[in-house]
Amino acid sequence: MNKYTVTELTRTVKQLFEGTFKDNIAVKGEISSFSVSPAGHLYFVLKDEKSQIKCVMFKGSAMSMRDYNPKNGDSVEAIGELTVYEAGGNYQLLVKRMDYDSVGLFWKLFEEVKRKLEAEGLFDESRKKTVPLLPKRVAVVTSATGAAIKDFLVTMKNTGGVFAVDVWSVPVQGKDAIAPIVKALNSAGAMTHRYDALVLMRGGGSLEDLAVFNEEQVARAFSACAVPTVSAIGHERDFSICDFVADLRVATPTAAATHLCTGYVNAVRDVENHKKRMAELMLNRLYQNVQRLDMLQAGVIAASPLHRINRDRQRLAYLGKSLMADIKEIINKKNTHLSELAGILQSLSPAARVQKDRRQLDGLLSVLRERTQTGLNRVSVRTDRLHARISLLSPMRRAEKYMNNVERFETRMIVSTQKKTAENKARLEPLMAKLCTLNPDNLLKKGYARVSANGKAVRSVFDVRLQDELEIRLKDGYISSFVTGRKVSEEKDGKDPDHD
Amino acid sequence: MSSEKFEDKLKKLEVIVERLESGEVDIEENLKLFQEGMKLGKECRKMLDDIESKVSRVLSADGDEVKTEQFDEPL
Repeated sequence: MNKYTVTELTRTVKQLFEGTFKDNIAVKGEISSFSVSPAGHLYFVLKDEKSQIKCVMFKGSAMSMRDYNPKNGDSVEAIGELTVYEAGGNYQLLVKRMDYDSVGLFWKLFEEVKRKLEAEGLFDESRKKTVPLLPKRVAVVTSATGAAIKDFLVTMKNTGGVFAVDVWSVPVQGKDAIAPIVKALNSAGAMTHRYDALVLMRGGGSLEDLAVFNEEQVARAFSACAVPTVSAIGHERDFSICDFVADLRVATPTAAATHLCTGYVNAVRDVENHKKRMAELMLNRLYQNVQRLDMLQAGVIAASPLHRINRDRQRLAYLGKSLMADIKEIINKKNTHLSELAGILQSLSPAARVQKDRRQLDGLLSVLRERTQTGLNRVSVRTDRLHARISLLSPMRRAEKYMNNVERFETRMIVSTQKKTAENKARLEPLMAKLCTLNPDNLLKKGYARVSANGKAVRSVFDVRLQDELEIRLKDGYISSFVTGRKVSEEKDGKDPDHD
Repeated sequence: MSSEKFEDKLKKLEVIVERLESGEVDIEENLKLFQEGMKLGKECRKMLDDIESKVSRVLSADGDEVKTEQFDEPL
């Protein structure tokens, strides 16, 4: 066991301390037992939940703090050296610089309010109301001009949720926001007949920006809402006291809109799905039953007497038909046979016999007639021959011969005469033709005219006088004309010398 | 709240669909359930269709009276 004097021990501790904490260190804590010495040095204790440490800040250091006056209860960060005061036998923090720890204070207040309200049971799960799945109208307590309400409404639109929104516009920052928010929460929170949910909402910001939602008054008012509440404050990582008292905490305004819309979107989908499913099931069930019914009915029909009767009737009809066919065939056969027999019988009947005999008789008779005729013919031929011989020998025959000769002569005579006549005719014809050309009418045919006056032919210009009527004969008629002048032709070789 | 009623109706509708799906009900019951289900479905749909999407700004509130105006969405 080591033995020390008080001084030795204290000095050893001092050396240990000051060896361990050589440089400046920063310590966070809350100021208490604060006092200022007449010399201007600051004496106080820094403490947290469990421990405390003595601090001294000399006047020089204290004077350098311009914008901060320390006081009891402040959360601070003190920077300085850890020293051991040998005379007093204690250790202390020699503070050189000290900053107001706003974050620390924030959390201190936060924790205080949280602890208090939690103790009162305001966070109890049993207190939480259920936010309806299908809100019809929602109160939104937020700034009407903030980004939060914009996000909320856009999301609502995009998600396809349908509900009415009342915007209770309030400032959402600073001490001045507390009263309006509390008022809005009190009013809207009581309107259970109007609202299905109340959303307290603010976009993201610094811890200080969000501080209003850690205010005890605000949290209490929010907690007191009879309408189910939703808190949507800041970003995902931000937590406020209001989040703890809300019936439902969502991370952001967007998340609040999504949550409130989900019910509607799901409800529409569910209702339609259920209806469709039900109709399918019902139809299936009906089809199954119809099919079963059809099958059973078919079975019943097959087993029914009527069906058997019908079948038998069909069979009967078939048999009847084939029977009839058989009978017809038999009858036909019999008929044929009968006709044959009848033919035979008929051929054996007395009438047939008589007929046959008559035919035979007719045959004999015709033979007899033929033969008789032949005999007669033969006699006749002989008679003719004899007659011919007789006639050859008759005087008539001779006479005929002579007659023939006479005729022959006659013929010769006629022929020769005719021949002569033809010859004369042949000689005559050219003469006649010549004569014909000399016919004055033929001249007319060639276009010559015959002129006559006073019924006499005019052969010379001297045969006429002026105003005599002339008749000029042409091939196809006459022209009557008067003599209007005459001129005697000078040529002497003309047939008709023309003289004037 | 009528939304509670909606949820009740939807729940009933679900139960009916489940029963129909089980196929254990006889045909008369089946038809009855189907008709009831269709009626519920129609009512549910009507309730959904009756909800109006409207955004208003609260001007003042006096007791239960709330005065609102058309909210000009800052979109």
